[in-house]
Amino acid sequence: MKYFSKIYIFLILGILYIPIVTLILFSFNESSSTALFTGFSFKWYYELFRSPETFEALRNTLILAASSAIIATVIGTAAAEGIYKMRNKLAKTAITSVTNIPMMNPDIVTGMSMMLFFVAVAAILGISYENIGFTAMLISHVTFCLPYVILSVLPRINELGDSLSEAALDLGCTPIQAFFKVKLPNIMPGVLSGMVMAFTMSLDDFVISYFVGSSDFQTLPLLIYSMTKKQVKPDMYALSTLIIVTIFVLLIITNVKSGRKSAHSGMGGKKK
Amino acid sequence: MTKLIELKGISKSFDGERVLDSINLYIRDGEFVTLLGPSGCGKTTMLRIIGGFETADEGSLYFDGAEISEVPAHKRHINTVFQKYALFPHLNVYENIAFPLRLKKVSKDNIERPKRIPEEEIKKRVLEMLDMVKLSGFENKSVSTLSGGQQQRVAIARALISHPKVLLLDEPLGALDLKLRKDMQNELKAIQQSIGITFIYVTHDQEEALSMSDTVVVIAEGEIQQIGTPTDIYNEPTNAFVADFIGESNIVDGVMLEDKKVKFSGKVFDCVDGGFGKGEAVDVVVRPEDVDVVEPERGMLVGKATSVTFKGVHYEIIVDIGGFKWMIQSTDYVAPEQTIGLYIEPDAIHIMKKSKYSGKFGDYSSFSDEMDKLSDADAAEEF
Repeated sequence: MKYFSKIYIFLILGILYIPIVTLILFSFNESSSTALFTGFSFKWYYELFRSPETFEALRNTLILAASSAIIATVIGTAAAEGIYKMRNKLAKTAITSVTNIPMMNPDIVTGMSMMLFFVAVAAILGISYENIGFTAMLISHVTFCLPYVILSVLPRINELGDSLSEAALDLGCTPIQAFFKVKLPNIMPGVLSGMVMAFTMSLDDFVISYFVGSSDFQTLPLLIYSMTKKQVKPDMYALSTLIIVTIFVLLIITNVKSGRKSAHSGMGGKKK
Repeated sequence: MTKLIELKGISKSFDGERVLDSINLYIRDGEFVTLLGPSGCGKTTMLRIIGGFETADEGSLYFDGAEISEVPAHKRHINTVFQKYALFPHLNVYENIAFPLRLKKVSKDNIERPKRIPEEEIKKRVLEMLDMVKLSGFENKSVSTLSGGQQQRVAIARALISHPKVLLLDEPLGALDLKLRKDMQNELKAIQQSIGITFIYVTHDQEEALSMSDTVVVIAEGEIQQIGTPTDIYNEPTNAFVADFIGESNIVDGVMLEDKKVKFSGKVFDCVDGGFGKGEAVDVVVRPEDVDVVEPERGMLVGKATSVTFKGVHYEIIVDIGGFKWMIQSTDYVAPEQTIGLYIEPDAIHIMKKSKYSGKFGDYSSFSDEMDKLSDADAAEEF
């Protein structure tokens, strides 16, 4: 039984990670063969850093992910606070479900509808679609990131309740001050995790970007896809390896941090 | 003493349920007032209206002569110590207490632009406050590491540092254990006397109310039942509810024969109250500790002891007199099933007019049930 459970866990881990390990391995391959490992080299990394196209796509992706994450976090936090304050139960439920739709909707539907919308807007404004490429991309990314922020902030606000805000008001805060000085610091973990989620969703998105994006604003997933039409070169393996390593490092950092925090707030859990 | 806070015809309903029904009350400057009543009687709602967290449906609220019904909480010179303290977990003890000062901008003369309070002054005042609540040396502690009593003290210091004119306290000692609660009662009273501001204190604990307050306001079902000093409330309750809620009471039906003569339990007694109509039906209150246990032949009333419980200071004896169960507290031991006489001095008899609470309280025939009910009410969450 014990052996079985050990084999089982290795099997699962194997299925999860063997493809990734293969990818990493082949990013160090000397030749461009996908079947034979002919020798260790950093050749593809070198190649990757020489290609201006890849670099621009990477830059675009990061700018887009960061700005849409920040905008979605601001709007989403405000929305969560607004939903919390709503008195009408029916309206509250309605609004909550409506904000969840972009998350439930298949990406392909969201992507197509976004594309139609922006094409129409461009036509009405009489400008070429190319010119609103980044704006269109940003708006659509904010749209599909928003529910994740609300989903991560709203439970925090619900849990916090009114008592701290009331105490702040009582001690002389204006309602705005009470929000920024007391409420926001206490819901910060939810806000931050919402932001990280929005960032990764945007980073990861292909389908919606494929529909909305225009040729002058390429993101990394779009670039990789366009390359696969010809042939996947091992410099893409190198790029993927870098992304995996970055995510791995980020994951370790956040886990260590939150691990420390929960060890620290062991006492805090009891107070009420 | 001037009227500092005045409530005129305040009413409030939640979801169609009337929680407060045209409350009229004034509170004087420097007074320690307790709003006392069972859970759900509306006392916390009253406090929240004074604090500015709820608005009344009807009626108006005055502070120092000016109407403040529409003034938001942060503009009132009233601070609150909340039931669950509501300390800010992201700030340490020092910053929690300094919080109100950091918001304030003051101008020395009216010409200068208002400035923030300088850091040295903040520090001086925070340390003073910490000293007052006996928490010196706790400045840099995180509030989540403090015990309930310590958190309570921080909450008090934080509420008092900006020198409010009124401090509202919403069952502040509810979460503390008995010993700590007694200590904090004395301390709160001492703090109130030393700084001389008005305290409005909400509790369901009658003993707490009697021992701390200058004035007790007894509330039930959204209405004020009685306002008075602790002695008045205890010795001269206005109706059966107050008599029963404050301390233990035997409440029996009686008839006033004339001034200072009342008939109950089939006997005529001398009493000290008057001003009732001849033959008027009344409620008669006799406190258990005011009844003397005597030989049956000397007793004004005679009955059989049905239960005797040792309480430490005294015995608690339930006596059946003509089917009505009296509670007697006596230091003399009485055997169960023994027939005893009761002797009641005229000034131990208190006469009340009939009210809607008549007949609902003051009979100890279902004593154990009543105790259960009371402890349930204590445990129930106040809304």
